[in-house]
Amino acid sequence: MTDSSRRAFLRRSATLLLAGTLPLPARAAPDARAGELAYFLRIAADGTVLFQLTKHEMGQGVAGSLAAVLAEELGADWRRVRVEFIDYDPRYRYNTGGSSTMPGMYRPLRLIGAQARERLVEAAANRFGVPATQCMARDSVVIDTVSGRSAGFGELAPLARPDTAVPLADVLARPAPPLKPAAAFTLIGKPLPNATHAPIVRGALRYSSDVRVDGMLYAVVARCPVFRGRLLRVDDRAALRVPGVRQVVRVPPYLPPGDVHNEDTTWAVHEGVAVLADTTWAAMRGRDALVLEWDGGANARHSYASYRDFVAQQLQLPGRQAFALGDRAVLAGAAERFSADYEYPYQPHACMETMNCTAHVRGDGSAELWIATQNTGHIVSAAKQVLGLDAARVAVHHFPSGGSFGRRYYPDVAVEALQVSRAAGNVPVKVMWTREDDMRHDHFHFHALQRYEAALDADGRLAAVHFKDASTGHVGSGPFWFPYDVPHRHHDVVGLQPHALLRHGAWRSVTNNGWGLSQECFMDEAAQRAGADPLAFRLRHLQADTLQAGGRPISPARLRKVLEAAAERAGWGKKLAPGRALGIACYAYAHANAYCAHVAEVSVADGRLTVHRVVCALDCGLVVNPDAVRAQIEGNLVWGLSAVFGEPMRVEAGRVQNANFHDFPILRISGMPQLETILIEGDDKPGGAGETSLPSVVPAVLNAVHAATGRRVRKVPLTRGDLA
Amino acid sequence: MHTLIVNGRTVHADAAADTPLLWVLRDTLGLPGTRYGCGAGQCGACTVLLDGAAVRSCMTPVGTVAGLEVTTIEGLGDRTGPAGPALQRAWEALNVPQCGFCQSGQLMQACALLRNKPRPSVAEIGAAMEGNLCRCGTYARIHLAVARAADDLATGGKA
Repeated sequence: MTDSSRRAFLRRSATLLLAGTLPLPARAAPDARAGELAYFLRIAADGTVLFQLTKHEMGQGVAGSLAAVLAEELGADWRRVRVEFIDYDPRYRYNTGGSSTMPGMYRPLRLIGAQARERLVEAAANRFGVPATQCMARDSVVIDTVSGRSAGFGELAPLARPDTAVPLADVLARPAPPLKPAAAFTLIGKPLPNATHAPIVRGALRYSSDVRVDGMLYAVVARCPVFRGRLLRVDDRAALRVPGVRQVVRVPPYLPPGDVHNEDTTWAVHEGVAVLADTTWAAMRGRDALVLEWDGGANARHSYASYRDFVAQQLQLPGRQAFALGDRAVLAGAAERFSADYEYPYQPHACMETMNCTAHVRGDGSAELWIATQNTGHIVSAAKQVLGLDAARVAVHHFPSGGSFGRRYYPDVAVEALQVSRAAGNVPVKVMWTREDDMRHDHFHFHALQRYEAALDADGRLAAVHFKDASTGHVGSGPFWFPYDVPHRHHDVVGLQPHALLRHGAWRSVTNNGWGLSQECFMDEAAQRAGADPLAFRLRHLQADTLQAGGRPISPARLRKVLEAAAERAGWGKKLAPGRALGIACYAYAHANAYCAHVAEVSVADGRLTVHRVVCALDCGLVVNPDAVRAQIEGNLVWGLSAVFGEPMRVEAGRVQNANFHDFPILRISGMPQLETILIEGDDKPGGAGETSLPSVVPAVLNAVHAATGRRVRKVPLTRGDLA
Repeated sequence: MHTLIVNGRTVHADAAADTPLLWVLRDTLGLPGTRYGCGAGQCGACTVLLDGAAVRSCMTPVGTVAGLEVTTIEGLGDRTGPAGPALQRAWEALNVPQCGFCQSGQLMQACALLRNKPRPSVAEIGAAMEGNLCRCGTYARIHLAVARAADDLATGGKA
């Protein structure tokens, strides 16, 4: 494949028709910016609206949902809107995470769409020789409402002024043009299919693992099995004898210190040895034949059991105060205090598509990457920082991923592939991770151990709460999103990042998994102490209008509403079938402006838990695509239940033992309970949906386990003996 | 050199006999719609039809499939009778996919089910799909979509 035909392939593979059946044939645009009318927007001569996707499509549906926001304000014909997975362009910010995509992009895309619409209308008015005020845009056509004349977007776009000469921030800072009233929406709020669905059911969606480029070799890497360990010796003679194996090269590590928390220290590359071959299979066979000796370093002293003991000791340290309200002396002086510890452990993301990256570092110092990533800018800066590449000469071709959930936020996969390409003599390489690689060398969910200590007042209300958070995800600070109105609240953090046993990172909902489990299981225990109903007890502490939590405003009223809605639908307080019990939990996902409640209906028989039915009420503000939001609720339920029902991670001598889905199982179809979802729009602005309905899943189930059995389980996963 | 029948076409592939069919499809024959998920028969992402039966291509050596009909996701629409297209319609109508990576395998597995048992019960759908993992959590929709495709087939597309 020549360079130009390869680009044509990429362009073809990277463009998706939103409505219809198949991607349109390639249109060999000589310039990726041809027809650019505005940021995020090209219009082809035939009138096709090309939305430039800058966020990562990982199954959450942003390709379609963001396109719909732009198309709505533009007045585009939805059937002629396509999404382009554009190459890295430094004019845009690419990071996709924290459930921030829709809250962050909604208003900018509406402004861009409205401005572009005004320019198309102006171009049409000039052509018709009539005032712009008598023209309107609809279905990709501008109509003169008096004469009935019309012109399509395709013919008008070249007459309209492109609006990308000034920085994007300046464009967005302009006075807003008139925006469509919500009552006139035809796309926002509708359950539109995503752009990816039609190619997916035909096997035609191209992921980065499908990439083939000229002269490419396939590579598999043997990585140091212990975090921060080093390679002592490699004998590659047998590997090089495997048919199809071409080369064996070393991959240098990138192991920043753990005592600083910034973008450069939240990721790492394990030292490794790469086997390059003609096929993936030959590379795997070659790797099997490597003889390797590692020095595991300090982490090799730990099993997971010994590490847990270490963390439990760390939790006894005073830590650093991260939040304070009222007086610590109230709790210290209380006649009766109660306390419990909660654990959310290390666990892998287990995305269905394992990590992979195709990279080519050329002899002239330029580089090209084909990858699915949540954070392209970080890849480019890491390529400069670690390999000394010129950021302006690093091209990145984007792909949707087969799941990401935070894993692809980190640049390690790309940096490693670049290192392999360079070490192999500047050849293009596709580095494929096997499932075992993916399970054992993840940026795992942090290990978090958290303690609540509290006292009640004479009326059975929480008088004082102390929360201590020991987590490998912190070096010593953190917000506190506790939504309940308690007059004396303190939050201390014991930073364990320098002592991380495994490489960790953002795992769907990130810190909120541990915070949700501990907060909501604690509230259940507190209600029990107070002799109160768990729902009524929560509502009693949610009477404030607003609350500041971790520097962000929280609306107890919105949390109250989702709690009440979920409880009512689930039949809270009503008679249940014999053997059944309910558990409730809620969570204010402050930085994504979303509020969620879950009620789980369970039974426990012979030491086995069954989750029969779950009700979820989510208020993530204005909903752009209700079907996509419901899909996220479904997915988050599977994530929460996978954490509950999974196998614990096993670590011996610093090495992760779990290898594949047989010993790190995720939920299968038989484990999916009946799910009912309720969407409440408590704000006229959209909040986030990707993670916001996860933190309350696990505590709802664990609280239901208590209601069914009287046993408090304060961790995931459930293990043998927890319910027996 | 192995001679294979893939989606109705006879093709030749040069690969060691123990090479899993998955990698021959993906790396050698240019059919990447069949996905690598685990390499151990644990997840079902690599499911293809072998003479109509669902098999894990990651565990099927290419040397064992000579003379058998291999059907991949690329052949689902026109090599499986009405079942494949009915499933594709149902998957799209119910917006089953999220990331979509497991869906090739889910669809091939469901296709084998419907060709064997055109009107499966809810329990039979669950049992047939138990070996196919979906990390995004599309299970509820998969259940509904298989049932919808079965209804569609039973009523000749008038469901």
